[in-house]
Amino acid sequence: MKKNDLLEVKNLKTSVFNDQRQVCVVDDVSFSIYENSVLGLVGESGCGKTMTALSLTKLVGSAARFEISGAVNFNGKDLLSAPAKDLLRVRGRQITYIFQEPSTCLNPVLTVREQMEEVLRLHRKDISRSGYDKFLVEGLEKVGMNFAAQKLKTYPHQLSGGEKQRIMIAMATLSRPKLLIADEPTTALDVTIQAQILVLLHSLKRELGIAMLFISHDLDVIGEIADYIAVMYAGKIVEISPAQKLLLTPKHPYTKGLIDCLPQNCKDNIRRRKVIAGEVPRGGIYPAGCRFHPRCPDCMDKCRTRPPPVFRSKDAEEEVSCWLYSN
Amino acid sequence: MLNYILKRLLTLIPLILGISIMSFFVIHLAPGKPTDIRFELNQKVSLQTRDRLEKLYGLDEPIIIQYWKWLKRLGQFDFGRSFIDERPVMDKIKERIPITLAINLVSICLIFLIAIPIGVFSAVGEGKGFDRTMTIMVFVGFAVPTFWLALLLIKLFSVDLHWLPVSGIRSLEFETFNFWGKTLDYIRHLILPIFVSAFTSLAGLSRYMRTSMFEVLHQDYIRTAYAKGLPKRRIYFRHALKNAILPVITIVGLSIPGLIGGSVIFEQIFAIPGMGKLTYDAVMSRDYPVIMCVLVISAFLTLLGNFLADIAYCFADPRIRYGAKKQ
Repeated sequence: MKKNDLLEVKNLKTSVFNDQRQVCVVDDVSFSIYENSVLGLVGESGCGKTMTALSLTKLVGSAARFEISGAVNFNGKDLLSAPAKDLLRVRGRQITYIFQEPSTCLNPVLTVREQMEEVLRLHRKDISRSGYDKFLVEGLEKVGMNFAAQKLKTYPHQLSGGEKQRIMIAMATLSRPKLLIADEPTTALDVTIQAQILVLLHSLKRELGIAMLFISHDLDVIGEIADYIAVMYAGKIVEISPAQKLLLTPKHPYTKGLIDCLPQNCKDNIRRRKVIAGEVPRGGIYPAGCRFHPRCPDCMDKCRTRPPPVFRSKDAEEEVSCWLYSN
Repeated sequence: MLNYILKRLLTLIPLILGISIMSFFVIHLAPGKPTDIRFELNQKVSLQTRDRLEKLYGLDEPIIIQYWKWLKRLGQFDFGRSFIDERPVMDKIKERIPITLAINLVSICLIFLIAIPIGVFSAVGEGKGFDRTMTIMVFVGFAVPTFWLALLLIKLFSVDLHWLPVSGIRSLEFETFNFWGKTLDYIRHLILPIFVSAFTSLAGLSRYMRTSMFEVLHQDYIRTAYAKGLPKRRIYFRHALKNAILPVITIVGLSIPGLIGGSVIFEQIFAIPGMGKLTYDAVMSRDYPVIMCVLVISAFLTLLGNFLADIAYCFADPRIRYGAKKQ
């Protein structure tokens, strides 16, 4: 069964220049996002999840000097080699973003209306200026905002974290995007709001048919929303599978470790949670061979020297880079 | 808001009093007396004459009484008469203020008009040609002492090239000019002083603006703006500048006392009869009434400048505006 690719990432490699040193934060990453489906990207902090998301539309540049190679095919066009002008037509219009920290992601000196109107003016030429107000109120009501008309006049600091994230989501859907990239959209929120936002994102996918790249370090959260899950470790994707398969029969030792760490899987002794021993390699200095081998319980000799290739299951649904599956 | 303003104004009174006490005592305790200048080198003056004069000026009384009398007169806006030429202090200051005010007003406007764009464009093109050139210029500006720069410029433009007058604020034949001739004469005299007074502050402010803008450009909400697909110009001038300019408001406030205070150094070099020169001469001859008047005026302006900056901040930054309303 071949699904329609919306976005195909091939051998994406992103390096950031840090004090004259080149650090490879995303290394040879390939994945696809299908129409109207959610790909969850999971991994520990600092493993390159956010950088992967930003690289897709070359958004890294606002923070640092960088270099991206590989290909990101979206609607038959390669975004990485496209001229800046074409990229601006995709970014914010067909691919939109939601970020982790809603309180710092909205401009503190502009009102909610000013920030939302910008999107309409830029990407929705089909709406007349006089229709903005009505459209914005509707947009806010769609994301479950109470007193939407009043909220338009407020500044970000007058809103709660959940409200700010709703505004970010509303803003990201105004342009009727095909793909929404949600970078840890619930991490900074408390648990009840987290659940509400997840429900909201779910309904956006169902009702508007928006595909999503959903990034989180929380497998529980990802499991609730994702159709497919990619597990990332030290700049590389180690396993991609349909969500249910990955959660029930994880293949890569790292994925197994992550699932074992979930609180519900430590029932025998709640006080002593399981952990994956060791630390994530930092600063772009990776061990030779398989990058996970120093922490891997199933480490073999060849893991130490040779990086594992990608092994696919017969139906090509599951991919894993681990020598355990080399037959 | 009105309440807040009134409260702030009331706190100014004890502050002014405190400052006046401090400066009154320090000035009076400084070695040397106003009478010394007239009598020290004059053998013919007897001790009795000197005592009589001290009594006339009220210098024989305890310092607390002197302060109390000074304060009572201040209550009626009477700053007394100068010890040197017996003229009312207010008259002396009134004739000095216009020229100092004119020079400083022009130079402060120039500083802001030039430094802010320099800072913004340096931050935007960080590390590129313009930024590097400006960084060098700025450090030269920092390092060059005002008096040295002034003397070099006089040597070049006035002595060698004869383009500009050497010093003063008007030519000898000033009275024979018509209106435009007079204006031109003033301008020719003021070009160098204004340039010198602007140049060194320009360096500081543009550096400050660069840092502020640079910081803002790395904020999350700028990334959001990029993610919306906004063109760079709009991101820089709407999203970034509006935030980056906030700290500069404080500097505008702090520069208000400088408007009147003038600069001792360049007024001395260019022989400009402004406030800086008046202050310098008054200090050198221990002309207490003039010194105290200048000090009180600058203290008042400093406090007023801070106060105005706070109020302006309220209008520019919604976070503070709404915070102040709540109180």
